[in-house]
Amino acid sequence: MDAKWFEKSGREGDVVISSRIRLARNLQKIPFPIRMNEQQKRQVREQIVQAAKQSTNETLRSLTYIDMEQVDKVEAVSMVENHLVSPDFISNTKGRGLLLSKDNSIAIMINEEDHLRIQVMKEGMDLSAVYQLADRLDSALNDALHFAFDPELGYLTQCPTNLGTGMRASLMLHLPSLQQNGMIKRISEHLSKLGLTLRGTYGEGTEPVGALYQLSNQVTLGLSEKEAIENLERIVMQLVEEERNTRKTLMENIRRQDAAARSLGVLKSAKVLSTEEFMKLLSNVRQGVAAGVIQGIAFETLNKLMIQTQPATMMTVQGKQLSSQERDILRASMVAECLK
Amino acid sequence: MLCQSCGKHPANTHIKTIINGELTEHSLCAECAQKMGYGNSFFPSNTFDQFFSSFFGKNALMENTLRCPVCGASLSDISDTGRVGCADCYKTFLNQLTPSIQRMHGNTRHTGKTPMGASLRVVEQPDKTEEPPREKSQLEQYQEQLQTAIDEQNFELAAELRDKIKAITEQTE
Repeated sequence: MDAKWFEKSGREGDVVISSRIRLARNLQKIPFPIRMNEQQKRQVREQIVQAAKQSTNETLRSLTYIDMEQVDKVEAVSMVENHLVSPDFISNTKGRGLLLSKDNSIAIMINEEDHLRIQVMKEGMDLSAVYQLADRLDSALNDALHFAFDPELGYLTQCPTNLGTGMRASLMLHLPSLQQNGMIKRISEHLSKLGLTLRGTYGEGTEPVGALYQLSNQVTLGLSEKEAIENLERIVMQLVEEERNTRKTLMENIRRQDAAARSLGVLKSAKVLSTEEFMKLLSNVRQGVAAGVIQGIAFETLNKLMIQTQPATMMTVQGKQLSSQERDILRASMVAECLK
Repeated sequence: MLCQSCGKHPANTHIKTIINGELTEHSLCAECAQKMGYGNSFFPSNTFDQFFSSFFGKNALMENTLRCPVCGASLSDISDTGRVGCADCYKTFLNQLTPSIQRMHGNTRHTGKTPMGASLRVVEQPDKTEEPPREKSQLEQYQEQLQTAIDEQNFELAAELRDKIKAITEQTE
């Protein structure tokens, strides 16, 4: 089986977990999903699936089509945990579909907020390569579908916040050191002035579980794809450096080293692990590995564990419902086995 | 409903997330949404209600009766949801939407990829050449005249032009 993108680690992998590009596209002369009935949604879905199947682009032809109406709830949640689709996408699956590549790096959502959301993801920091693939898929789909476009406003989207390029570029970042020294809030305010958004990936509080954040561009109109990507890459490199410098200072403290080492100890020997506890400990270990305090553990191992031990993903792999306690026991044994 | 984060202000932003294997929705006030990165820094206050309400200026009555010929959306449908009904709504309601678009993006003119050719060259792609400039088609001329007519609030002329545009687009389809 092909290794999934989220089971690997890439460039600047100590801080940048993954890169993602998402293009919002719509067909002409057809209402946007908010004003479509179920039948129209199914017709549009069919049209898009046929366009992919009959495309001259080999990658598009190779995508697997998934009818979201046929996917059970647990599996749908697992798709969100795997960062393939949005929570909104699975909240109502009527008339929705997904085109997915084997390694899960391409996921085209049909009838989410727009008729199409072309997403390409890759491990580490590599937005340019990710964009180039998304761009090729977009052009090939446009040959058959002729997307709604206006010379002034660019690609026309259901929400005006996506007008223009329709492109959202984002990077998933692990920023434990900046979270620990309380810098995140100020950085986040600063970033928003630069037209970027920093938000937690997991959890609902201002202190996201596992110190995982998503940094993305906010402006899509008046800034080309190239400019938006270069801008994001330049700023993220500053952020990466800041995390590294802060980490270096923090991890000189024996208490911090101890916290990382103890976290690894718990992960290796616990018999019951809740998602939240696991995510916190994993974050400490990841920070320890990045600082060189913990050796012999690869980032890809940690990236893989993070996805594989998510609740719905475990149940999908096991093929059955598990109680919360059963999941915590299974998680502990998977983690111990993997870190042995 | 009060914000689930601060418990003080009314919630107006609804965010779906996955918590412990379950799809959950939580409701936040504008301020907390902004703090958690769900707001948009380009709005003075980030709720769609407030920021679309600028539509309802002097011509409120006229704007409420105007409907998009393709999807039937009215301006209040758009302002209620913060979502536009179809691609043609951007033509129908361009004047009313422009101030909000300007506020969101700090700009109202697209630069970047067009469906005719990619504009991004992160790596040089010598096989792609620029489109040569061409003369404006009858359709584009009508569209420009329509815009001027709408700007000048000459709705009789606008209706006439819209019919002409419709006839051309139907012919070509």
